[in-house]
Amino acid sequence: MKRRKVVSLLLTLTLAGGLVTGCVKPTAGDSGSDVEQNEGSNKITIMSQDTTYGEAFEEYIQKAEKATGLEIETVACPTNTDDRQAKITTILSSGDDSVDIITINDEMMSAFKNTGYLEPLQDTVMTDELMQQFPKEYMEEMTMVGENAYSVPCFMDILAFWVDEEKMANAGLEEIRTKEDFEQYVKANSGDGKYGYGDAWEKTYVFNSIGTFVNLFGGDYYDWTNPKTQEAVKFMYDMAKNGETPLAQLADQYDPMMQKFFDGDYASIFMYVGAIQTFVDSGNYGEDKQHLAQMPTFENQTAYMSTWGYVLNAASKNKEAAQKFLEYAASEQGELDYTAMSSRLPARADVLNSEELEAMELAGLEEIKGYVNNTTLLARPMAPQAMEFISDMGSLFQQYVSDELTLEEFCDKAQTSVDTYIDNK
Amino acid sequence: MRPETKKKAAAVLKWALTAVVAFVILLPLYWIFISSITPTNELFSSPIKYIPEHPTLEHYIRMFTQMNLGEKILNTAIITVFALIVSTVICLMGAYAFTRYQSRGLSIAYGAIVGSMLIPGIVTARPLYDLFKQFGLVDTFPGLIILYTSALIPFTMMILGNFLGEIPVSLDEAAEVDGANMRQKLFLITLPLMRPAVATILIINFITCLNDLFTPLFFSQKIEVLSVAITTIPRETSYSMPWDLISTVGWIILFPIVIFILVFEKQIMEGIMAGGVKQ
Repeated sequence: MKRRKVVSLLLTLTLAGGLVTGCVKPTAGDSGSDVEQNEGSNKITIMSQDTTYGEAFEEYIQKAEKATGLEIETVACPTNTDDRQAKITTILSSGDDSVDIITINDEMMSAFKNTGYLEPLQDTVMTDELMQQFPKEYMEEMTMVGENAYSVPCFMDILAFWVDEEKMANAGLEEIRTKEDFEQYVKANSGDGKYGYGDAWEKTYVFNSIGTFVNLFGGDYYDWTNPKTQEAVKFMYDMAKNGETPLAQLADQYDPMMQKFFDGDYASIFMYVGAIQTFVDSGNYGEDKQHLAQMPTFENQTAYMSTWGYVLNAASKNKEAAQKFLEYAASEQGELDYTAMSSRLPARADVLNSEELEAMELAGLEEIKGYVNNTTLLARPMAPQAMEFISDMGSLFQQYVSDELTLEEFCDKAQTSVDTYIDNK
Repeated sequence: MRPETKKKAAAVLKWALTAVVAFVILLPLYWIFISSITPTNELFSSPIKYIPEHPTLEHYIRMFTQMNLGEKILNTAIITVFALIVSTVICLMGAYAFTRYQSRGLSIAYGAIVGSMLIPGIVTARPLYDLFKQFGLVDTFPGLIILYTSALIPFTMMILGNFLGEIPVSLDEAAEVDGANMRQKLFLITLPLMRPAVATILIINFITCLNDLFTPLFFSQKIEVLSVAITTIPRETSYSMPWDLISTVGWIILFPIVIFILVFEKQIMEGIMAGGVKQ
């Protein structure tokens, strides 16, 4: 009996202790420059999910070693979002110096850029002159805090508009240039289990679509009292109610959305250009079949862009060597070498328009250049707690299109979510 | 209702429930398997095909040739074998002490060990990471073996302790009368009687080690084990999941576990029942 009491007491104490065990202070401060450096070090470690490119990645690293004279070791990074973010957060927040350079996306950039885990690069790599080659609005919004620039983008992606050319005739159109064209095309291709517009409205994916429509309508994702913002979601709601886009897509992510597009169930979708190889592999890609189209102009002609970039760990002891690699990665040759490895788009405008890139014959390059030259490319609205914010907005939208919330209620709650996640940043 | 009819109805109900539970458990396994042998372009075809039209082993071949699975299997084996040996030896001696000797200190120690099972791994990950970093144990075999071992100890201690509690103390006392010391009592009298429990705990811990994603994900970078392979599968684009390859790696991880359970099912059940019943 006595033993049981002691054990019970200990279990209670363990549980209580367990609740506070994880409350530790991040060890990487906001002054990475205080870290003692390995003078003359010639060796760096890069953590990247690009290791999955196998031999092509090894070749890219060999080119980088040749160009910089460095010895580069690479470490694989999880390719799935949650595991990747957990692992990188642990490394950076613990001040672990075993990795010097890490590749991160917009979500992680939003989470880390204010923490002091990353080394600012504007004085060493991302100089003003170089910065001009990257999309200005995006870089300022996503990769900078004040004067500090934290990322060297290695590739960019654009959330673009895809149409099925074979279905264009149903609407009596040659191309979709305006909101009216879009409505006409969607209406003409809806019915009998087919939809003029298809999407992925799973709660974390619909975030991209809401933002895309809000921008096209000239609204502001951070302001849900703005009539144009409200009009955008009402437009999406009406498409669902009119049978022009399916409610069943509430559970869909990009895989099933693309498959339905390939199967001819959808006549148009928004999808990242980075997935172009999947379209090519489907056998449906081509000028007279399914292809990239320019974004229609509703009130604005806008599209989201995103990048993956190299960041420098503030706890790194090999910063000088790491900066050499980053300079290479940001150079024209570095971006071309990366594109040769991955077939992904370089983030530098001059490289995007270069003859060398033209020679690589990337699918959809001309249309993509059209986006870069004619469309306003914007960063996605990200909060430091990016996934929580994305999920919250997605859940609210799902409730709205399921008639669990009215438009007014949805907008009120969306504004509360913005105030909670964005105003606290 | 006649007793025979009642008996038949009970049997039907029992088998119906068994069938439902088996279906719920086996369907995902079947789904993973057929996804692993379905060509990529047929994976999302509509209507759903429950039997692939063009089964293929190309995903398995790709995984073994491109993902260096051999090295991952070897790393997993090294860590698992050491963790199993160390945790079993420690827990055998610990459980013997906890069940054969009584004191407040022992009660506290036992409670602390078993209680540590209640702390979720994610809670201790960061402080442990800091500690291991200071000792240079992150991303090393000794570090991973220590972590795996410490994760196995609480459950192993509990099962072996319960099993030991069922072995009459009079056997120890008889051995003592014959002049046996503590070492002889443990290794020559008690241990042979504990073989079913040890076999069971080895099998369960083997499965636990194979399934553990969390520890290698956080505490190793260059040492890759089988369970983490699922997180580094090549993806053609960032926007689609390679479900065919994920299913393939999932099945590669599952396969030895399924075989193990089929072969040792009897021992597992006997050990759990014996360890779980208190007089």
